[in-house]
Amino acid sequence: MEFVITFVSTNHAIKAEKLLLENNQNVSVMPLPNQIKAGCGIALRTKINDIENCREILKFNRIEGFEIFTREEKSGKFFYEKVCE
Amino acid sequence: MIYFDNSATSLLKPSSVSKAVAKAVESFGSSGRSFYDSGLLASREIYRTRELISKLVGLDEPLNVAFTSSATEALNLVIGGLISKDDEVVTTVTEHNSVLRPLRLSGCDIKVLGCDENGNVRVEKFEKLITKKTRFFVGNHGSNVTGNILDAKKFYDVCKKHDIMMILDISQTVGTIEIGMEMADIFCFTGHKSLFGPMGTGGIISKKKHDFKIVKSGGAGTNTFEEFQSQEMPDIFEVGTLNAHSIYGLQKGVEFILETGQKKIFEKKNRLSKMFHDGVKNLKGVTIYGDFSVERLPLVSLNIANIPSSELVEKLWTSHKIAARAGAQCAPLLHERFGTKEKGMARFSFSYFNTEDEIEQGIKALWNLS
Repeated sequence: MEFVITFVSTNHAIKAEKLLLENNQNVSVMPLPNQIKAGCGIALRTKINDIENCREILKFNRIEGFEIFTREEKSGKFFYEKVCE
Repeated sequence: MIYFDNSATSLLKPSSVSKAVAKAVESFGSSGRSFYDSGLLASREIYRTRELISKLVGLDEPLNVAFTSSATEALNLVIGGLISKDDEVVTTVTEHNSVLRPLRLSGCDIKVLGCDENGNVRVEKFEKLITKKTRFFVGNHGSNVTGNILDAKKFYDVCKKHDIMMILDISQTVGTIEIGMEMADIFCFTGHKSLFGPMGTGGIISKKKHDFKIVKSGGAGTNTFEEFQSQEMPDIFEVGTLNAHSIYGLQKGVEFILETGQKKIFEKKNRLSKMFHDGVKNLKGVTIYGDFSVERLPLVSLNIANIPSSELVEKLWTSHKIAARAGAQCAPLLHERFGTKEKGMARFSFSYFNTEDEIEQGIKALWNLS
């Protein structure tokens, strides 16, 4: 299982990616999953061990409106579940 | 050629600017949409440009820098997004048409703050113009005609006292004069003048969130099925694919300023401008406009006797290959104030990349023509 973080805009996602990488968090950019939000933008994904740190860093840096989802693969398909805002 | 039209655009730029644009053309994918390397490269460099501009002006949130195609577009978007026909707005006699025309288009009630014989706009007179209905002050930080600088901090203090929102046009000053967030609520800038960026760059700097009306709509990458454009900064102003190639060039221009030091750049430009002023102030029949007793922009606007400014700059070009600007510089109210509507003014504006030798040649050329 891994976590997906979405943002209010792609600009916020780019800012968040930079902040998290600067704070040594293991995140990478992915296409915004259609199952979560309609759009052609981007989201971030990270492993289970890093998600709490990521959330703290984003909150500390006042990144507004981000949402966290779990992503699990079952039978070749991805399933998403909202964890928190 | 000797180029003395830097208030119009900075022709000579750091070599890193053109190199960056060429590199971007060859390597940038679509910004703000794509998750693959080339798209992310563009998005990350655009964000880096927001960071450097924020650093230059003392802004703490890079996403409050929105890119536009020019200062003119920035002013149109801000004025169109905030001001309506029911508003009373104070502006100044020094404004460019990129302020005056959008204000008229909004249908608002416009009050124009005049200037003294040296072109100075005084804060004491500003306060007298304010009424209970005044909601906005739109001011020109530096005049592209006289080179005078508005005391923005004092104007902003008055604005805050009367709950007036202040919009500052920093087209002529950013990159030359220090800009700070204590000067206004919203700043509109161009990239291709003193920031050394390519043409087609400019933007809006907003200290905080404002209730902008949406005046431009399109795709943004997220919330595709929403009926209206996002009102988040910077998305509300950044519709369609950004000019990422030129924004990357602008980043290198701003980087040059930060590395060189704004103070050093200003001191050199100021020294060249003062040298030019000293060299031409005793020309026979010369009239020089603006206040040269205080800190000012590096430009000199003048007329010689009754020679139309267009003829003066034409002769300078044909006989000496000196490029200067004639006419009204898109500032109609100021030319009416100085009685120069007919003949205009010849404007000489200087860059960090001009030399003392070029200034001496310019002075000699004017003495030959006078």
